[in-house]
Amino acid sequence: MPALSDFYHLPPAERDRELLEAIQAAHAWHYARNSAYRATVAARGVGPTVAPEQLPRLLRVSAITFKGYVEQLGTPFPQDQPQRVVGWLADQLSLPLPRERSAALRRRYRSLEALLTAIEALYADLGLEIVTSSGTSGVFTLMVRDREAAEVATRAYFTAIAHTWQIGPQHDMIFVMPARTRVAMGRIASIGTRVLDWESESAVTYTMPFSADPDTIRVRTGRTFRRGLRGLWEEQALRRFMVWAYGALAERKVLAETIEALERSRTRGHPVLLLGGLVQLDAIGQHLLAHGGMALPAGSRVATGGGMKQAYPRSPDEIRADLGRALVGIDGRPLPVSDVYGMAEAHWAAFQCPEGNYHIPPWVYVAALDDDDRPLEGSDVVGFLAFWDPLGGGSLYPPFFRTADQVRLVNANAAYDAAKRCPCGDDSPYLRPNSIQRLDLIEEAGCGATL
Amino acid sequence: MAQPSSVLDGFWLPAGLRHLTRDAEWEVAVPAGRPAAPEPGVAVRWPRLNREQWQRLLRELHAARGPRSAGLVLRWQKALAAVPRLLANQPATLQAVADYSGYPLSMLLLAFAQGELVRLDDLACALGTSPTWQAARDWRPMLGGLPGYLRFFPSRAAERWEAALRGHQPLYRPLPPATFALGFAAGNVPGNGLLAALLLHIANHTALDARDPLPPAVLVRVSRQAPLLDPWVLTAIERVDPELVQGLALLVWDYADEDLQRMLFGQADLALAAASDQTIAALDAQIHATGRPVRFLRHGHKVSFSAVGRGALHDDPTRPARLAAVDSTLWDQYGCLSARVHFVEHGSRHGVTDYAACLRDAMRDLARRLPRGPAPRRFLHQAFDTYKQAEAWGDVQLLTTYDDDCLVVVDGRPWSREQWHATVNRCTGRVVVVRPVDDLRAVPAQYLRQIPAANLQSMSIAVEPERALELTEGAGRCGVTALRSLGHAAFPQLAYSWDGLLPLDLGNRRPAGHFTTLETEDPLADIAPTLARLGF
Repeated sequence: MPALSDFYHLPPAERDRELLEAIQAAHAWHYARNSAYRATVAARGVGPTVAPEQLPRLLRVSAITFKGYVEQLGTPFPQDQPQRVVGWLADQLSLPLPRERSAALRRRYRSLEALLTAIEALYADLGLEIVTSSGTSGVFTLMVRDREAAEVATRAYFTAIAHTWQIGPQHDMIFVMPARTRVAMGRIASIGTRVLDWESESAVTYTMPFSADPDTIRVRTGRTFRRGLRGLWEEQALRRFMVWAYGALAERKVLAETIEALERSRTRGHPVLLLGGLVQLDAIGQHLLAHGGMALPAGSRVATGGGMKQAYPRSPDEIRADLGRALVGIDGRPLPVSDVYGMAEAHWAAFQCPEGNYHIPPWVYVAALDDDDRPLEGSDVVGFLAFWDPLGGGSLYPPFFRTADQVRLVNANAAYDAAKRCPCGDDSPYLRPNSIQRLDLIEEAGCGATL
Repeated sequence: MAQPSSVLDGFWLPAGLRHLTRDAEWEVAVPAGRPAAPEPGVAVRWPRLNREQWQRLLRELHAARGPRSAGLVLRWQKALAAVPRLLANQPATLQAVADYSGYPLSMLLLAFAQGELVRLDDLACALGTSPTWQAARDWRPMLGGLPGYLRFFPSRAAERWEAALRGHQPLYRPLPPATFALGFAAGNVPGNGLLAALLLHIANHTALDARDPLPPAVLVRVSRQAPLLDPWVLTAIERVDPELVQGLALLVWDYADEDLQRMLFGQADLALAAASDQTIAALDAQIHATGRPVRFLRHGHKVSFSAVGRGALHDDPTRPARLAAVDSTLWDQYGCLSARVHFVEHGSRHGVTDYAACLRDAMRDLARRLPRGPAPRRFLHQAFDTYKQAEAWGDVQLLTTYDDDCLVVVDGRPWSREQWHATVNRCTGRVVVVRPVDDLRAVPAQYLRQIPAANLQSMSIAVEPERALELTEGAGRCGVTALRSLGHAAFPQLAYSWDGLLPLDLGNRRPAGHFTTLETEDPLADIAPTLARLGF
């Protein structure tokens, strides 16, 4: 099997062939080991071997897979039922998780963070770590990684970022995110720079000076609270304090630390990759604009990610335009400001090329599905993004997912059209800019209510 | 995108006002909501009026108000009775309604063939009498000698005490006649706009002191998703009785056009909305901003259920199951009237699983006869995956396959509040959860009570007559506003409670609270005639 970086040089047809073989092998491996996956795809008529036309039948929805504990346990607070959480996790994983050890867990934990830490300690010999989604819905996606999965994911992310943006150890990395977090994207940044040993050559700075444990995020997001008095405390006191403290203290600190890190890199003459959420980066951009902007060494760039997760008065395009004015190169030209499209359940991210298109790494097989879960035919289609990531997805769970994101996908696998190759020169599948739309709620087609 | 083959009118103006569109700009729409490009087919147009054109329309609509007729309700009945004959020879138009809304022709034909929704003679009967405060204390026979019962549940405790003191006094007091009524009909179930127009048009005739009143001018905002049926029917009515509809208009405009909404609410004294809770909240705010006392009747998003008692399962379980299947299939279960969870009682000759198996067979049969409309299969698949996982944990039995066009599952797990709500939300697009219960009397306290009262709507029931009122009482206290026999979910009677409102609410005022009506005397006896009526 070629190395990940070799996929950039494979002709599309050969790439498809390699990927189909890898998907078939990954399916067989997980089918034999993962009881939740086996039950799901077997009910769709798929056995241990899979034909190419059955690929859509391998896809699962991450909310059902990784938030399934809510349905199984009957609560969005898994810390109340530690043993059952381990049982649920064991079903989701393609490794034999010794369930009997769960007897050593307490009957309940005070927080989700405490439970996840306890489970990680319980299975420390397996090197498991549990990561989460950003939790903006109020319910966390819980995913497990082991050392191998973390290394594979790191290699995948950093191969893609090096290819698309030419980012490497020569860059100082400034992440506008907490150093300690379980949020998948933040965790991969932290693990990646460590695994690749970039910290020895370049400065890696996390400018959010607080931990972002799931319980804090849940309360601050304000969508899910505990029942009873504790919930009242969380909603009426703790959340208000958190919102106040973030506005009054943390935002200023994030701003100060980010500016300080940028100044350090500028002084040292190191190129910078500044990566953060749109809202946080907007505050930085506005501050810099008010102070005459900043010129950074050649090769520097700004990356945004995560989309807009809260109501905000300025559009992403306005924010990016201002960032381009606030941060310039030594030649005085605006720094490139590009976006990253990724999700917690994926071990890959799509980086925007100079043409604005989001390139899917070529080792990931993608398609767009219609509303009935059928693949759309054509080299330029609008549908729900589905991906099969047999090489970068690790071996803990089958990395075959149908997302809730409606996208315009060009040159999907098995639908390559040379005439539609991205003008940037990359012939991997890509998503058109401004075409990504989250559609995970039932559209309001009638008068039936959603509770 | 494929080009549409025809452009039809998705609005309606009476003949006397059609000249107002002469200089208007037009908006053309094709069926939306799917990522794939639509097939070649129908497109719909409606005028985009400028402010001056709107003002002229309102002026002329006011001038065209009418007719002043004591028998307005029966006049509507007479005109509507002639419509099927007129429309029968326009199959292409009905096909266009199907193509645009996404629902199959067979579903439209089944729904509209019933015709019971517009039994206006019953409505006229019900308007002849008015409930007293006694209805707030006890169940009363349905108004106008119609079958069934009615009860009023006041919102405030003080009014419950008042009911004890004011027994025989009327609950309603007449309001001054409305001059301009605004309707908002959202969603993609065809016919909502027509229903809103009809109700608003007869509003003044529902007032207890009505003496040949002049109807209000009526303007209804129809949904972009289903704008075709209503104009088509109104055009047919106009051929029968042009005077009847001369003061009605159905148009499409944007809720978010604050200036326009301010102008419309600035003139309206009555409004009715069948829309999402968010839209209703936005309309509420717009009305509030005018500072005018606009009477606003709200029909928000709701959920409905079925309850099948052990008495219904003594004999042939396929009979109640076939009717329950209709209740959960029409409009792909997207409507507020669609039954979601079926509560089924243990203790009969045929068990809950027997019922569920019959329901599965009936829903599969309906999927062939009434193919799925616009409901995406991805949600059906997600529900399937969820229950397939849950099966491994026990007390869950899936009866359908991944490739079925419906889902039936028996779920006997203990439910937390979160699971119960998730279950209700999952049951759209022909997904039915059969819930075994020891006694249907426990349903209100264990289940309905955990849903906000404002989101509860109706229950289709199959229980013995002596149990029906007890079940209705419990459900009504939780907020359920109508109980009717199995197979009637999609065919509510206009004379009875709709979202807690009676037709009398259009032209009268009463204390805050909701009505609950039971539309039948004997739900079990209704099974055979309903099966016959539906042709099953």
